[in-house]
Amino acid sequence: MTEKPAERPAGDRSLHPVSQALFGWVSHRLAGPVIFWTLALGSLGLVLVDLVHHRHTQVDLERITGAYGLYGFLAFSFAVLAGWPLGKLLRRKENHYGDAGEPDGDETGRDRR
Amino acid sequence: MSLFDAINPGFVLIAAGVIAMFVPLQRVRQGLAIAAPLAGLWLLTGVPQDTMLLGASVLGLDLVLYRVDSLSFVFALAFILAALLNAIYALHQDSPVEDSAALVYSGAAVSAVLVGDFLSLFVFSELTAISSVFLILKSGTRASYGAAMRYLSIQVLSGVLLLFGAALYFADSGTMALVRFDALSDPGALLIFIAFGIKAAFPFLHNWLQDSYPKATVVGAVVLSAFTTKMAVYALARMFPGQDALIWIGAVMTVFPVFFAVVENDLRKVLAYSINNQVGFMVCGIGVGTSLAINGVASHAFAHIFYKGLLFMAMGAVLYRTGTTKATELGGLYRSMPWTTVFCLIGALSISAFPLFSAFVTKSMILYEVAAGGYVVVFLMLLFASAGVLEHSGIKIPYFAFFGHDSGKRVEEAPFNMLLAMFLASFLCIVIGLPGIGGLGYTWLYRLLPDPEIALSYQPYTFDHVLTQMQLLVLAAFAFVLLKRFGFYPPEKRGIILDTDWAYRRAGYGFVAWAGAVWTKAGPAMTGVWRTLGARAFGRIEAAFSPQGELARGGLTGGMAIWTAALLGLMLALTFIGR
Repeated sequence: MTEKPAERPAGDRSLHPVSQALFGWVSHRLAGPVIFWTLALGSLGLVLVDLVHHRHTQVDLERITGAYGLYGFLAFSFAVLAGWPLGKLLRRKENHYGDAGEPDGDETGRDRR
Repeated sequence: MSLFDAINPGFVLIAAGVIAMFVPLQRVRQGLAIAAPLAGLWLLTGVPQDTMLLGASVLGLDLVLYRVDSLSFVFALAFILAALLNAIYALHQDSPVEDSAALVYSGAAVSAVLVGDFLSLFVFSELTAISSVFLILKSGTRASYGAAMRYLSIQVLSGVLLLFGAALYFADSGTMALVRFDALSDPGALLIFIAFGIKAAFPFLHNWLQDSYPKATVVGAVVLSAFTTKMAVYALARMFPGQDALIWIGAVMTVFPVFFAVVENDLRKVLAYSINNQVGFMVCGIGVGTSLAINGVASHAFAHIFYKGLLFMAMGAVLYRTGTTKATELGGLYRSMPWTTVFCLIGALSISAFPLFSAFVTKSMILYEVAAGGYVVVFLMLLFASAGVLEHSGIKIPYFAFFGHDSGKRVEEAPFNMLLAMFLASFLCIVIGLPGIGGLGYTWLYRLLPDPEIALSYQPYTFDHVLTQMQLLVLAAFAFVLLKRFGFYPPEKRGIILDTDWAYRRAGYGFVAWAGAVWTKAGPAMTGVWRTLGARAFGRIEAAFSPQGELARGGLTGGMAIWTAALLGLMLALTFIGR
């Protein structure tokens, strides 16, 4: 049974009332800049705390100011940037194993409204 | 001790699963699916610990069919609670096979952690494999059929290794009781180690997980995420704590999935890689083997079952409503699935170990002990993996499914039962992670751990811990924003990502196909050669022995005399040499 999902018309951009309350701000034009600057200033603030607070450390590297933040930033960036060569190296067509073209998961029990 | 104390809660779930298979009425069956875990919970929490509650003797083997200790208790409790949430999550569908398979699978996992001998562990471990395969098969696609067969083959292989290892151990020791192995040099111990290494999805043995879980049904993937790997974690924690090899195996397990998850397009497969990553922390903690590390392992497994289940539930709801979990086809679903979005975000915050969420108070015990043990490189690998998990499960899953570019999909919110299950899982994710106030918060979980005194002496909510964790996560999140803003974040693309399953899905199938083709061509030629050789041999024999043959024409006497003389001469020569 491959029942087509019940979707609202593509032109209908109205939000679910709960979405409006919880996430309405996401579509605001200033949402991007606010998130960016909040994270930027938050990051700076968290690193600066290291200058005034003496942390208990277990490993020598932890003594570097902002060590965890710097490491998190670099680790995250490295993992993401590695995606470029890895994608080229490892990505194949969906039918590489000859079983593409089928829907995900459960077809028979689907009961979309 | 009452009669009820001798009932292994896992047996109740298994029995309910068998009955459910034959109950045609959906609501009755689903009532059973909810009642059985509740009964199991009541049974488990009422029994004394460190006592054999049920035993048997079979063919001279002493079996321990039910005993509870502080390690098995926390795993069994998590499994039973997960079975309950899974049953609620499945209420919208009428599927006797899935209801039954999920109950038997859950019950087998509960039983496996509550038995005390290798033979029983083998039986219930195999039962988890056999019952869970139906959750993949039920998808009904050719891809799911292939994945189910590969999954079953690998799980059965793991079971065979376990049985063989147990037999070797029994031959050496004369007992089947579960023990702590001090070294892997014993062949029996090594085979058992590999058997549970397969189930825990060690590196290079891991790909059955990413192959099968994303091809399971909507409910099936949620159920699968809870049990097999955590059962293996329990077995490793019971039998191999303090094995140095596990420290490095675990560290590698945490790191390598990060790279695969970055480039993976199927969000349920991203979550499957995330299981590898999180189980890696547990395996590493088992390798460290100190009391606090084992507490960390048990608590992280407990927390993981619910936040990973929650994320699979959210992706299951997305699949249920949209028909896909491909990142390339999703985005903007917060507009129509707000509650699912909220619950997914709670799962994402929990797995990322933000303060006030579950992994913050569990994973840190393992990291603390790794650093205290002086494993600096391993510590850095785990920190890398912590940033990595924020990338794939903390940001990628919610961002590409619910935010990101608007896919234009406007679907209904998930069914109420799915939302209820997600709410309950979210509740656990938060209540475990809160500061301990009045016996609630993380102290509730810590009191259930194998060594509660040591656990309660650990303080997760120190200023240093909160500060360093927030530094790691906030700057990693800032890296995401920067990379997206400047176009350095790799775009999601359709396609599959090669992994170690290529060895058997492509190279293995290729070899078998090649061997078949060779045989097809060489077979007739070889048959001709054998036929010619056979005909010639028959002709020679016929020429010698048939009534018209050489020997029948009077050559027998002379021939026999010559052979007799030759044999006599040989015997004389041998006797002479022998003297």
